[in-house]
This record gives sequence, structure tokens and C-alpha cells, in this order.
Amino acid sequence: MIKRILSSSYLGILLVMLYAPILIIIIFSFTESKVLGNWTGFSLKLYTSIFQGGIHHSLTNALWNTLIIGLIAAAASTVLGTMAAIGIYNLMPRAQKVVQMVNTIPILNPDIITAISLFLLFVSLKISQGYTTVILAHITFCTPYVVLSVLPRLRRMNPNLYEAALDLGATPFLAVRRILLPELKPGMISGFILAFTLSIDDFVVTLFTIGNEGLETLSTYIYADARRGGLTPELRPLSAIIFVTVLALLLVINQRAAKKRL
Amino acid sequence: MLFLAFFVLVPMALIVFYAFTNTDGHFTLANIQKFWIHPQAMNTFLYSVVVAVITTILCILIGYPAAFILSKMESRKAKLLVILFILPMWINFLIRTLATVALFDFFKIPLGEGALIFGMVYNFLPFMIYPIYNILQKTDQNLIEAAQDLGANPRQVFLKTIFPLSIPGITSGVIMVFMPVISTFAIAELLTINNIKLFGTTLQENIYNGTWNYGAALSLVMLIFIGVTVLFNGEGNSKAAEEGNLI
Amino acid sequence: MKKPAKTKFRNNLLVLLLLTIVFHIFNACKQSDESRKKVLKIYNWADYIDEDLLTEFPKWYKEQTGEDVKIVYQVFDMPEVMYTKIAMGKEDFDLACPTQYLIEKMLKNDLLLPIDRNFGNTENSLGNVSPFLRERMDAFSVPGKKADDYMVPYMWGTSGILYNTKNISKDEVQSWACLWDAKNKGKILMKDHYWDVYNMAATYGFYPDIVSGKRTRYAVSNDHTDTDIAMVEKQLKALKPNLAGWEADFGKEMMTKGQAWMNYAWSGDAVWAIDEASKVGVSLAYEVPKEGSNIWFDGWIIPKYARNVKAASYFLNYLCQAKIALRNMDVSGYSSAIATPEIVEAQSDSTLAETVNLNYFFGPGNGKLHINPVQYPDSSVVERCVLLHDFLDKNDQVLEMWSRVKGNNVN
Repeated sequence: MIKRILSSSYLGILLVMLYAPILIIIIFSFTESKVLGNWTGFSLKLYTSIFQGGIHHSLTNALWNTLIIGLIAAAASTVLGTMAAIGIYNLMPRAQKVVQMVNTIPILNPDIITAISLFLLFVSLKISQGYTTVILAHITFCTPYVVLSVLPRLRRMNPNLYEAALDLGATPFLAVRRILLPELKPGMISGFILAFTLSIDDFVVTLFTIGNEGLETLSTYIYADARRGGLTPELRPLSAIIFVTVLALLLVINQRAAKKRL
Repeated sequence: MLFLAFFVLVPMALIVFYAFTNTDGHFTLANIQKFWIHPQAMNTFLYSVVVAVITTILCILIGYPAAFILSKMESRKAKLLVILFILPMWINFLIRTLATVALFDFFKIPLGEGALIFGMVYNFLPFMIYPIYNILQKTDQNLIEAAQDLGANPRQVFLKTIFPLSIPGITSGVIMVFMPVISTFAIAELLTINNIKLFGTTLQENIYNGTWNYGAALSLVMLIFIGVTVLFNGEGNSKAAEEGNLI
Repeated sequence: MKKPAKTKFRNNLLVLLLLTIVFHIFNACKQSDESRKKVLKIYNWADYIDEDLLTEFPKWYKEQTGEDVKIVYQVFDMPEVMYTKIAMGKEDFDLACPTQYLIEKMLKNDLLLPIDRNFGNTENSLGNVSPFLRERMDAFSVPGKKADDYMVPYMWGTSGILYNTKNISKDEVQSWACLWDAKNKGKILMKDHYWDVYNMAATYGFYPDIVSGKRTRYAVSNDHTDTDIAMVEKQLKALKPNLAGWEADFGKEMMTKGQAWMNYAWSGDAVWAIDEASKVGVSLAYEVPKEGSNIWFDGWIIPKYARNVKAASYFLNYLCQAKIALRNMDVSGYSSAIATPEIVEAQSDSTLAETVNLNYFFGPGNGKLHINPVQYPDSSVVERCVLLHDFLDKNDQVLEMWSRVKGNNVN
């Protein structure tokens, strides 16, 4: 009993600390001050001005781009990463180690180095930069994380299941779909979430692969604004809205899953 | 895997190229030399490593219990909570860090080294909790029961069975935390008013001020240094995994 | 468990095929020469231009030339990134707006195209830029390339000290020495920007030489000799223990919260900060110390790989019109480089008690203007300010000195 209280409160304290800054953001979204931390009276004006950006340098555009890029990059990384993990698993141990090291390089590399090396790559290949290059770049640094999420699952899986399925007459394709993928699904999902999280928050890599057609993501928008006029005040209500929306979504999904069980 | 090869190895080759050339494009070892001769970069690097080690250890100490508790909870509730741990990461990094600064302001705590460590742990804790939770969750219950049947008390069950099996998760977490801590510059910039300079700041300065060659050399040295460490770690990792499967 | 080799091979092939298709699709969308001529790509700081102008310009352009143009607008966060993208990435921006030291570097490295002044029937407003700035920027000219042909100043200002009037008196701030004063320890924010800080330290350190006439201000700021660099290092190392820290962007915000008493700031940021601070009851002010400081300007240039020089030049012409300049000043909060009577009228504020001598900027007859002295410094201030040159081949040496000063947490 005590153990349960202790563990719950441990988690509770951690969550409180994690969310304290978020709470500050939400509180200060209700004031117009340009500086986070100054309170100039209660006001809802920022909430309305989120959607009033210009056509060219607009917060909503940036947000939209960020979401699309994040989803596509995360999805592609998940597919590629799972395939890579399966591939690695099938190699001889020596080769495995080498490939794993190569896989870890993007994680270990400082993101600015990944950024300029990809920038140089795209420049020398004369690929015009924009959506494609950003997504490719994001896939490059997200895939290793997916591999890291899926590989342990693969290792823990019973290797005989696949063979058994083949023996029972399943085609390799069916065996993969019915046996392998369900086993790996939790790893794939966590890989996807990880990849998505990394993608939407990325700045440097996006900055160097964003091209010159006016593409913006949330990070580049925010950093560009921060240099000149201080951090965009509209970010605060935007973050608050995103946060509350996702939280609500989670709770809804959770409730529905609970109902299913009953 | 072809993809990996292309998008990882070729850019790496470009970096190596830059590291070993000077501004005119001629081959030179001067950049590497510069690193050894000038204490600045070396000192910054070592300091960053220390910060990274402290952060990683703190993340493990704080994160492991959290992951453990989560793995014991009912699956549905646990999943929700795990996502709750990741959720702050979806708020943009810069505003999160600025909010942390405002938090410190509010409680009148001065910025500096303590703030830096707090900021680092704050940002990277979810990356430690996630893999450990995943691995703990997948731990075969039979193994635990077997250990209990064989007469082990809860502490022994943990130390001899659960913990060793979860080491691959810790390794993943370490990989995802250690290096990024060294290369992040925004946290150090904002939470210590640039008084503490991490290696990531050095790199960024070099790239932004045009001295790409030196920056490339620096990152190569760092990569080799860490790469060696990971290799050693990798050895231990595969051994543990094998042992885990043998039981 | 082994996946049959055939399936793996087939999968790999599929992925490769997919990627190739994707590449081809997106590369095909690359604009042809024809359509590229109808696009104007602009690369600018954020919040530095009135965005409505970006929709109005195409109409104006059509009126003037009968041609269509579409504007593609990209923002950068730091001019160094802009430089990297153009120099290393050969990006085909038609217009960019870097700070003057980078413009000089670009001119010397042959990264700029001259402005096309064939405006046909359209009035040429480029002359509206204050002669004051155009004369000073002539120092950037290289043999064969006059600066005036390659750059158009956009916004300008000075560098100085933004201070909290409650803790620091106006007298104190008349000299840079207040930054080294131990009584202000821990309450000073310095800019993490080695151009300006170098100049401040050099000007302060060599002030006796300037007063006695042994060296000109210009030489002190722009010679970059070894002795100069050593002096700067000495001064900065003495300054460092007195600082709260080095900031790159958020210093002005911290000042509005009262977290520091003094901040090395650019005049444009100072205007913003003074305004913001007044909303929360903090009183800030700005001064350029007597030893001297620097003038900066952000200017428009046409990068080497631009593909629409004509529209770019017309855009510059458009920006130099007084009405347009006023709108940009409004949005950005900075001081425009344009010096016409309309600007004087719009910016004059009769509620201000003191007057400012702006004959140097607007021409004769503007000796006693009631105008914000932070935005438009008095002639006495400008006399002690220099336009800074790029460090060029001394860059590495200065950077090394800079990193020695900033330290590495160990020594």
C-alpha cells in the first residue's frame, strides 16, 4: 500500500517538474507582453492574433508544414527503420556490429554537423532544396532512432515463430504480416512517436535544407523571430492550444480503450 | 540499408574531407593540430563530457525508477503516462527553455551550472525513460517467476534478473542522451547566460563564423572519441543480450 | 530466421525505385528559365519589412514595366547563415539584407551583382538614401566596384549602452568605464558578438591616443594590428569578471525584466526595449558613451546567383520611396536610411523637449529637430562613431582571441 503511494507520488513529482515550464507558458499566454515573464494585464488578444500572420511569414503556415513534414518523415522512418532492423538482425554478428555503428552515427553526430553535411550533399548533387530535402534530412536522422526501438524487440522475439509459420505453409509475405509485424508493433509505434517528436522540434538540420522557396517550419519561424523582435508572443497561446488538444486527444483515446475492455 | 549507406556515409565523407583541408582546399593536418595545441577546444570538450556524464547518470538515476514503476502499472494507464512524459517535447525547444529560465527567475534561483544540469536533465529525461520502459515491459514474466520459484527474494530478483535484462534499454538511453548533451548549445546559452560554453557552442561558432574546416575537424575528433566508447559499450551490450537469452 | 534473399533484394529494389521516382518528380518541378524570370526571391530578417508591401509591389511593378512578378519570401535568423547559403550553397536569391560587415565581405569575395539602374520611365528613388550613409559606405569600395553600385542601406543605427535609469545615472553611462566599474558587478550583459565588442574595447583602451590625436578613431577600430588585438584582449579579460553573462538575443528582454542594469545594445533593440519596459513599469534609456562606438547598417544586396536582377533593382527603387520607408520603419521599429522631408515630418515628435542636430543626415535646415534621439542620434554622437570593416584575413586571429577571452570553463 505504502509502496503504491510512494511510487505514484514519485511519478507525480516528476510530472510536476516536467510540466512546470509548460504551466508558465500557459499562464503567460493570457497576457500581451512581448517578453515571457512580464505580465501586462489579462488579455486574450494573442489567441486571436495567431491566425493573423502575413501570407509570407506566417505562424499557421509554419505549423502546418511542421506537422506534415513530421508525419511523413516519421512514417517513412518507421518503415525504413523497421526494414533496416530486420536486415541487421539477419546479418552475421560481425557485420551486425559494423552496420549498427553506422546506424548510430546520425544520433552521435552533433545536429549542426549533420545539417551542413547534408547541405553540402544536396548542393553537390544539385538537388533543389525544399520540402523533399527537409523530409529526406529528417528521415536520415530519425531512422536510427526507429532502429534502436525495433531491434531490441526483434532480439527478444522467439525466432522459431517465423519458421513455424513458414513450415505451416504461409508465404514469407504472410508470415511477415501476421507474425513478425504484430510482435514488432509496439517497437514500431514507439519509434514512430520518437521520430515525430524529433522531427517537429528540429532546427539546425531543417535550417540548412530548407531551400529558398519560402518554406518555413515552426522552429525556423521561431528562431528567426527570436533574433529580431524577441520570441513571438503568439507562440505561447499556440503552445497552450497544442498541449491542451493533444492532452484531450490522449484522454479520449484512453477512455475509449477502457470502454472496449469492459 | 542502401538508404542509410547513402545518406549517412556520403555526408560523413564530406565532413572528413573538410576536416583535412584548409581554406584553399589543400590537404593539411593543421586543423587536427590546432585542436591539440590550443587548450580551448580541448578544455571545452572535456568539460562538456563531464556535464554529459553527470546528466546521463542523473537521467538513469531518476529515469530508471520511473520506468520501473511504469512497467508495473496496468498497460493502458502506463502507456498514457509514458506519452505524458514525452508530451513536453512537443512544445518547441526554445520556448521550453525560455520558460525554464522564467521559472528560475520566479523562484529567484540564479542561473548557472545548477540551472544547466537541470535544463539538460529536463530535456533528456524522456529519452532515457522511454527505452528503459520499453525493455522492462517486454521482460519475460516467466523469467521473473522462475527466479522467484528458485527462492530469490525481491531484491535478488531485481538485481540478478530484471536489471541485467534491462541493460540494453539503458544503453539505448545513454546513446540518445550522452552525445546530444555535448552538442546542444541553446541550453547552455540561455541557462547560464553563455558563461558556460559547451562543445556544441564551439562547433556552432566555428560553422557560423566561416571556419568550417576547423569545425569539421573538431566534430570528427569528437565522433572518434565517442565512437570508440560506443564500440566498447557495444561489446558489453551483446554479451549481456546473449546471457539474457541463455537463461 | 532468414528472409529469403529474393524478397530482400526485391524490397531494396522497390525502395530505390521509389526514391528515384520521387527525385525525378521534384526535380522536374524545378522552375524553367522562363518562369524563373517572373519570380523575385527575397531573403530577409524576420519582422523587418511591411508584409503588405510584398503583395503591393507586384502591382506597382506591373504598372511600371508591364511585367508580372511573384514574390517568394524567405527569412533567415542570422546573416551568417545567409552568407553560408549563398557562398557555399549558391542559392539563387535575388535580394538579401545582411549587416554591413558581411556586405563588405561579400563584395570582396565577389559574391555581389551590381544594381541595374535602368529604370526607364520610373523615377529613381535610390538617391533618397542619406548621403551621410552613402559616403561612409564608400569605404567598402574595391577597385572596379563602387560600393554605391552594389548596396542600398535599409536600416541603420548606433551601438551603445541600454541601461536601467533606476540603478544607473545618465552621467555614469557617458563613459564605457561604467562597464568595468566593480560596483556594477554581475549586473552587466555583454553582446556575444565579436565585431561590436572588439570595437568597444579598442575604442575604450585607445581613447587617450584618440584624444591626443595620435591615432584616428577609424584607425583604432579598423586597423586590427597585433597590438590592437592584444589591447582588446587585455580589456575584455578585465571586463569579464564584472559581467553577468554574454547574450545573443535575449538581453533586451532580460533588461525589461530588470534582471540586469546595463546591456550593450543596438539602437534599434534599445527602442524596442525602452518601449516594452515602460509597459511593466521599468524605465530604460540608451546612451552612446563619449569614447565612441560604431554605426551599423543593414543593406540590400543582389547576390551573385540571382536570376532576376531587374525586378530586384526595381524593388530596391520601390523601397527607397519615402512612404514605403515609413511603413517599414513602423513595422520594424528601426531607423530607415532614407532621408527625405517626409520622413522628418512623420518622425518628428513635438512632445519631446530636447532637440537633435540632424543636418548631417537630412541636410541643412534640420539642425533642431524634435525627434527621438535614440532612433536619430545627434551629430555629436555620430562624430564619435565609426563604420566597422570586416576583419578579413585577421578574422582567425581575432576569433582565437575571442575564444581565449570567453574562456573554456576551466581557466
